Amino acid sequence: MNKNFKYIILLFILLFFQFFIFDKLFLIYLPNIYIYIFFILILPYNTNKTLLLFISFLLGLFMDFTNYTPGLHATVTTFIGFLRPKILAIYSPITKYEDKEILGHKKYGWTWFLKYYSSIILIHNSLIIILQYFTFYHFLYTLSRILLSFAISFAFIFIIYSFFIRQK
Amino acid sequence: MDKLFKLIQKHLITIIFIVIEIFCLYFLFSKNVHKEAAFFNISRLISGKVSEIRDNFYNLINLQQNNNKLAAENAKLKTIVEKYRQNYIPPINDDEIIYISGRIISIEYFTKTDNHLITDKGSLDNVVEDMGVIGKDGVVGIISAVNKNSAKILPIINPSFNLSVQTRNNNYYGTLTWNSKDYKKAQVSDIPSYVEINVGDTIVTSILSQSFPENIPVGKISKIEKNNSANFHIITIDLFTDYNNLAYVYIIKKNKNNE
Repeated sequence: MNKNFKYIILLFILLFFQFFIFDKLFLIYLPNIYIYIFFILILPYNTNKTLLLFISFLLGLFMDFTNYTPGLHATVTTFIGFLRPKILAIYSPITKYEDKEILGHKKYGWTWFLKYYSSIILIHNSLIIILQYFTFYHFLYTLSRILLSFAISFAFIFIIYSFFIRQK
Repeated sequence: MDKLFKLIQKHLITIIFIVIEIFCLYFLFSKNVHKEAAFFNISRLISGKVSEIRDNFYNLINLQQNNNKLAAENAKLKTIVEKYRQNYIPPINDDEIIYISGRIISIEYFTKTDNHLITDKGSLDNVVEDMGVIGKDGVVGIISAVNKNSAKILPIINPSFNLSVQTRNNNYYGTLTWNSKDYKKAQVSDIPSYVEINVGDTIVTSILSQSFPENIPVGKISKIEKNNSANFHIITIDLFTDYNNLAYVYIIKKNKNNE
């Protein structure tokens, strides 16, 4: 019960920051920063897969309604929710995943952390940018946007992650 | 039957996933004006109030700066009006033009390509779709969806925007579009290559445009390329409107005087 409460608080904090700061702060100079995907990354390992899919879909839908982008975030976030168990299986550590542990560096090490977090954030950012442009005409431009967006999003998610694991 | 049931149970998650994705992709790729307007209305209903709080907060930060800008614009307009008042000739058959002032409550550059702006004037203030919107420096965009007390503006910096424009000096018509790269630049096509134009010429709205009165400035020519295969100039212009720094706009209502 206590644990669930912690995740609900995290969800509200993420959406608050996403809505009030990251959707607004970097108007046009930088690519967008999406930190809300951290919620799907950090959910416990034993989360029901169907539930995960619906949480991802609703989270994406929320982003679409606040950003006026019909279908964009919902598509990408649902895909991430579907992909997460498969990526976790690919990067399965030597010691098996434990239900009670947070999906973080403490139990599984930094290499695992980097692989898991960066691959999901990279997929998320690339899909959002590719679906928006839906062309490879400006290939280098799109690529640079993806990389920049990935780097900044990863940095901010890392900051939030380090705050999250400190809370007990 | 039993086997089928088991098969469905086994792949339940994949089936749910595919159903949701089809639903989302349908929304993403079917470009329908009515559906977009409906989505806009639902969005405003769900997040309108909270967005308003957020945008008011950000407006408050820029209040002093915006006030100064408006005062400077007022002074400029007063000078122009004074100049015209001294030698005023009543127009012969002019459409009546009314400006509705609006505040930009939300600048949605989220997707970078599908940019749009939201203003605080809606159908209660007689705003309807396809009205032109100008800022203090020039053309901003066209109203694309209207709500009771907000409206969505399709700015020049959106790939689906196009507008009939002309050069100020010689009246050759071209089409204004945006190539989704730089928000300070736009492209003008369809001006024939035998027309003499120079870097620095001003591009203005043409008489063919339904949404705007003629001669409203759009931008300045910054680059001209000759296309040998097609007989048209490829022109890049610097937009006068600074989209990164936009607080107040004027929505243009054109009343046709049919005599």
